[in-house]
Amino acid sequence: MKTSSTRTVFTLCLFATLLVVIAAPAVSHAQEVKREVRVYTPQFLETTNAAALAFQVCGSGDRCSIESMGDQGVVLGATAEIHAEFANLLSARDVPPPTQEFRVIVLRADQSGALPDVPADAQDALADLREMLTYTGFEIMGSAWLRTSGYGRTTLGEAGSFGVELQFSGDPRQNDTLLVREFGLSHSIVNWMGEDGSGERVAMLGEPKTILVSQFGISVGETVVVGTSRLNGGSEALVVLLTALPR
Amino acid sequence: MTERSDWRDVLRASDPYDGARLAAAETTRLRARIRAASADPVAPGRSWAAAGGIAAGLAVLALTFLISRATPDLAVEPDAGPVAATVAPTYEVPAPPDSLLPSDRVRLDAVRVSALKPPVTLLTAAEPAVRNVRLTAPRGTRIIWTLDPAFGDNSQTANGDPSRFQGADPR
Repeated sequence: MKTSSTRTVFTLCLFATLLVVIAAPAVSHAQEVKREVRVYTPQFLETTNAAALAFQVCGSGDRCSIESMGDQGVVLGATAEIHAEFANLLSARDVPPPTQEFRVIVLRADQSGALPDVPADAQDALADLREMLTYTGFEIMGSAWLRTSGYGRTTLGEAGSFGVELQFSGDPRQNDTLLVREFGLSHSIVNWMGEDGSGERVAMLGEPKTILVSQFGISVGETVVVGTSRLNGGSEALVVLLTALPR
Repeated sequence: MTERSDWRDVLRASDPYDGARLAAAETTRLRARIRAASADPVAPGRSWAAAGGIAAGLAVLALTFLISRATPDLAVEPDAGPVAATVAPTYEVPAPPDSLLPSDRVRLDAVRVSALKPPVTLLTAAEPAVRNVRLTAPRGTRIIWTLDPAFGDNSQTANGDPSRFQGADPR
């Protein structure tokens, strides 16, 4: 009887092994058949960030094939369930980027004691500046509003001789703190060429010269003073009051 | 058939813990059947029936194993937040009143800066030529100052206007 039981168990094991050998390729094939390839072209999100989302959904392993195709979008090969998950996540993230408005006031600083007519928050910043540095007088060279979702450039001052470039990151909708990745101020020599037919003076701008480039954090509603001077002061300096305007 | 329905329910639930627990229970039942079949020498027909049951059970176990391996885990990791760039720290150092520290430079020189009030000894970088310092005023205004040895050079308006960085548009 013991021999009979052993034979029975052996037969069962053999049967189970055969079942494994037969069923495994079939199941694997079924899984491959279920994988679909779709192309997702985000409207606002960078393709690399969309691909990162796909990796987040797929996790580790070989459940998906993900390919970033630049402007063409992301090619995702996955099951229908993963496609649905990714499509939901992408639609939640593929939204217009945040827009922030900055106020830029460029001033020449000297020791004349003259105070310009600037908004109250800028007055406070200038008062702090007068306490910390030797400059007591300020003259407005120009001002501008810059509304951007990342990078912006504008000109101001005499004949647009000052150039302001700004690039920021961060989302003011989620966090009050932004990072001004690059803030640059340049200046071009102005050559007045006389008058045109309508009596307007014609200006020719020289090659822009970079005056300052900096990177700093700024909070929404804050005014940051960005300035430059000679090492030992001299009689004048250039000061930029940069304000991240609240909504 | 009832047992198979239960297994399908387990598979649909995709609960590996319950699957393992039920698999262990199934194994226990199979062992009990084997023992019962071994202890009954006068019922070969029942022995074959038991063997059939065991075979069916093993087949179910094998299928369970295969399908659990084949079914992708659809669990998604918790939302890690926006993929967009996060706000990186800036290298601002609140300066004590009588000394200033450079922001992000390594090689330092001591330079007396008379532009600041009162004049202070500033630790600043020898390279590059443009040097950045960051101050925080007592009332909290942040000042980012660039000390440029070449500041103002060739920046005046041409045509003999002596004023550097000419101001308002004459028009």
